[in-house]
Amino acid sequence: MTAAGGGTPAAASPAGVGTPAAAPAGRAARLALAGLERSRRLTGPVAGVAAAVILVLLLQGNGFASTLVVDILVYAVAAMSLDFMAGYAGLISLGQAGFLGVGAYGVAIAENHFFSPWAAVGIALGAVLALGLALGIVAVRTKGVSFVIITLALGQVLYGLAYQWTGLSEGDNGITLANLPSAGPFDLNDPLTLRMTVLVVFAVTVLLLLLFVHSPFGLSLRGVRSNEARLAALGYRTGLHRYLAWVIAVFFAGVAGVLYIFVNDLISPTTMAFSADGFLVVMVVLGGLGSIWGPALGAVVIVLFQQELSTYVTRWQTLMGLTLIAVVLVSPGGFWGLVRAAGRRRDALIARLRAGQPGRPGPADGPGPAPEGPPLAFEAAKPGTEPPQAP
Amino acid sequence: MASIPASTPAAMPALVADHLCRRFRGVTAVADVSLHIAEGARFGIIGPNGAGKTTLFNMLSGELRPTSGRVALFGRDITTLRPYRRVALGLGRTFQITRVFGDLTVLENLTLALHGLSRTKMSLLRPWRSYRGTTGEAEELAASFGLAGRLGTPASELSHGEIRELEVLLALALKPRVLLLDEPAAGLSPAERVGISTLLRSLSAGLTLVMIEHDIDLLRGVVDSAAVLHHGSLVLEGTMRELQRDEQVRELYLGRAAPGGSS
Amino acid sequence: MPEFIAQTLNGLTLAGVVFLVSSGFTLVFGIMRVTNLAHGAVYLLGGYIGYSVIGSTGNFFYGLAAAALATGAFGFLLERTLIARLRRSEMAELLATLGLIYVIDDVALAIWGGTPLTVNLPGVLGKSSTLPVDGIVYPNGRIFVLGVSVVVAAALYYLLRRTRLGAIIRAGVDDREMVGALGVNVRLANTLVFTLGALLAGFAGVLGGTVLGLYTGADSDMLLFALAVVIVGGLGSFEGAILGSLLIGLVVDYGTAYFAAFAYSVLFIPVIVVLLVKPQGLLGKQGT
Repeated sequence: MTAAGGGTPAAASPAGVGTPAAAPAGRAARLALAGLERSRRLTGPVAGVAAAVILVLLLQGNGFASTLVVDILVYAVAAMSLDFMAGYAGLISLGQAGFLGVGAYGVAIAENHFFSPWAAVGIALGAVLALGLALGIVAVRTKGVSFVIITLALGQVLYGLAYQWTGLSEGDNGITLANLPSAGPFDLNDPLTLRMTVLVVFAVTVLLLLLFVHSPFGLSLRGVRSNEARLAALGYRTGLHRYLAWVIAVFFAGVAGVLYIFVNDLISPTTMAFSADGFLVVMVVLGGLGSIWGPALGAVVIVLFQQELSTYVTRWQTLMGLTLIAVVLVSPGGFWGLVRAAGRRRDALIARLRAGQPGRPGPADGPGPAPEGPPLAFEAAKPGTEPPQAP
Repeated sequence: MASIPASTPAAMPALVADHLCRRFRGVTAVADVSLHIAEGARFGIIGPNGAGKTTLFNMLSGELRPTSGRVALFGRDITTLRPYRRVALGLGRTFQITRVFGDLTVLENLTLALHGLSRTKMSLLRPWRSYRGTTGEAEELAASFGLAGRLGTPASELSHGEIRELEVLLALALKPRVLLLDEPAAGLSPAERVGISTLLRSLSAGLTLVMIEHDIDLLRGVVDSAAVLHHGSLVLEGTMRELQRDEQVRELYLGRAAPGGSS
Repeated sequence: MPEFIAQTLNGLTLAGVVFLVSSGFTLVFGIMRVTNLAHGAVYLLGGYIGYSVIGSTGNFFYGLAAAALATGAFGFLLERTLIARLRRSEMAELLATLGLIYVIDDVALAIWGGTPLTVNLPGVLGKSSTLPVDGIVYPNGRIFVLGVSVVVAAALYYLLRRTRLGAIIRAGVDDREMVGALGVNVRLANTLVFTLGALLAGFAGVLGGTVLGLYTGADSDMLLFALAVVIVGGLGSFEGAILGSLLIGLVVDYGTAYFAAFAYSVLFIPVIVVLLVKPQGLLGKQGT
């Protein structure tokens, strides 16, 4: 943090009591400080409330706005779950859409076999869980780039099954869902109820993921990403932690899949094709790897690209690819990384202004309200001369 | 240097290396090294680069399996145990190339270490900051070694000396009974060395320290006796005073001292 | 029995194409630690370019050469601009190549459209002949593709084992930092290898276009095969690419022929077995 006299050497006082020549004093500074501090306290809650209000309003109508928002929410659940794995444990999976597909197909296939809608949901989620538990054993034996490759292969194999096991999946045509679950007055066949339910599931997902992320387990995942070998030396069974992160992430992708088929009534192999896996990764990277909110923002952008931009710009996929490349080159922390950087600049400004105010007690320069950690990047920051970890 | 396995509980050494050997594809890195380190001892391991010191450490801490020989911790054979199991039994270690968690703040680094030996590390539903006991302990640990003001700083932004201190603190957080330190002062400026030296000297007397170091002043201040490794073999063992007086050792490893100079 | 032999030859043909693609991929990874996910897209691009050139010139071999040169040049440009900028982070490179897939696929879609195309073989290559074994009638084109793959494999082997560049590549796979320290112009080697990889992919695209066809999604399919090959054979290992291609090519082919519902999933089996038994690949090195 800059000291009170911060800034150019020319600002250093030649002698005597150091009047902080560079730190503005006086009424203007006091007002600025108060304003900044208030903004720091309030931006989070205000943004949250505003977003909630906007969402509820948008979901009321029956038009294309509500459809768009619902689509965004569904993909956001899948993207956020991917970020839990990728941004926190460093497991970037290119197969997440495969598990979304399993969730969706699970419901459809179960209903085709005469299970009730509620039972179908249970079966679908059970299938996703079982698959995640089984495949995870193989997947977490690899790290880094190898993990990306394995999950890509896994996702493609699941896609292949959807495409080729026509007896079960009806292949290219996909399966149309007949009935959504209902329980008395609560009927998901009613569009408004369905949309609200999606919103609730989204909110619960965010809550749970945030809880996980801030728990000791979440901290251990960040340790895994940062320096797995050291974490193991500290007594952690890192393989188990990665496995658990994978299972949780994959499960929520399945949840997104169930929501998906409820909202779209149809599931076809295309939903699981490689480009879908890629979209999810793009959402996460664009939004910000390692922040639960970032991928939700990423989902907004990508779904808008896909559904809105596509009507004006036929080559929207080229644009999306170029955007990803640009983000990787310029701002690896994605959009959320920019938000955090701005927050850090605000913190620094507040600290400087405070230092210029005589007798103002401020909280210790500890972790502060900004989220912990240095700017987001794809790989852990390595202090000293650490040889690169083998994938 | 006969390797007599400790038999009486009263004489139970903290750490025993029993004829440890390690060969890599035809190269012998460590050849028949045996050590008996008593509880509470301050023991050094010295020798030129490539003498096999870190390989020896790796076998002691579990990163590497010995080609032959055994390791015992307080009488218990730990030769085949993985590192995290040895940690649970009280064996701690720092690394030559510091391995702290660069992305995480000092507080988070220490918290992670403190949760290491308890089941709370798998806890999913409570924020880690709410574990006041643990975070309090982390703050105390940092404060007692001068890092209190740096709790919120990401480890990658610490100075070299502070990173080394954090490295030691991480190992201490696990409440080891035996601590292996691999060149704790490597790459530090003279001022920073003082800091590390103070830290090491202030460690509790019951803790057994085994330290690889090149810095003779640091060794003298912290360690009582040492073993000299050369080409993977244990060449000499004795108190610091004895070693410093030994001609061979002086010449090869400590640099020539002025006649009559020393200690 | 004759059916089985024909099926096996099909598998070997597939193995040949897959080898051409995965050898480039694995060499690039070996020396540069770059995972070029766009490798499949380059394959498809090469196929399309070859198709167009053949269409306008009427000459198959012009098409083959044009495709290889075009994709090679593309690879060269790519390496010099994008990849070189992202040397600091493997993950960043990987993600950038992911973005590239979308760009290449979309541009290809714009130019060549979405209908599947097949590259036609000239003259006698387009016909079939009777093999001496069991009197099987088999397309010459497939034998041609298989033959070309073997020749290229031999040439690559010679390159790796007998030339200076090959020695550099092999050394780089083993220990990248050392190679730099030995005064080798690593940047030049990287560019050459990356270009070669792209060239091979484009070349394979035309060949694959004859027996497998060119269609949207062919790039993902081929990428999947290539990835399976490097998982099984070992990332960075040339011999592993040969072994892996044989295994994957045969497995996929038999799978498609005999277990239609599980054609892709069958390649899963060697992948899982290898991951459980030897995670770094059959011929891979510890720590890759």
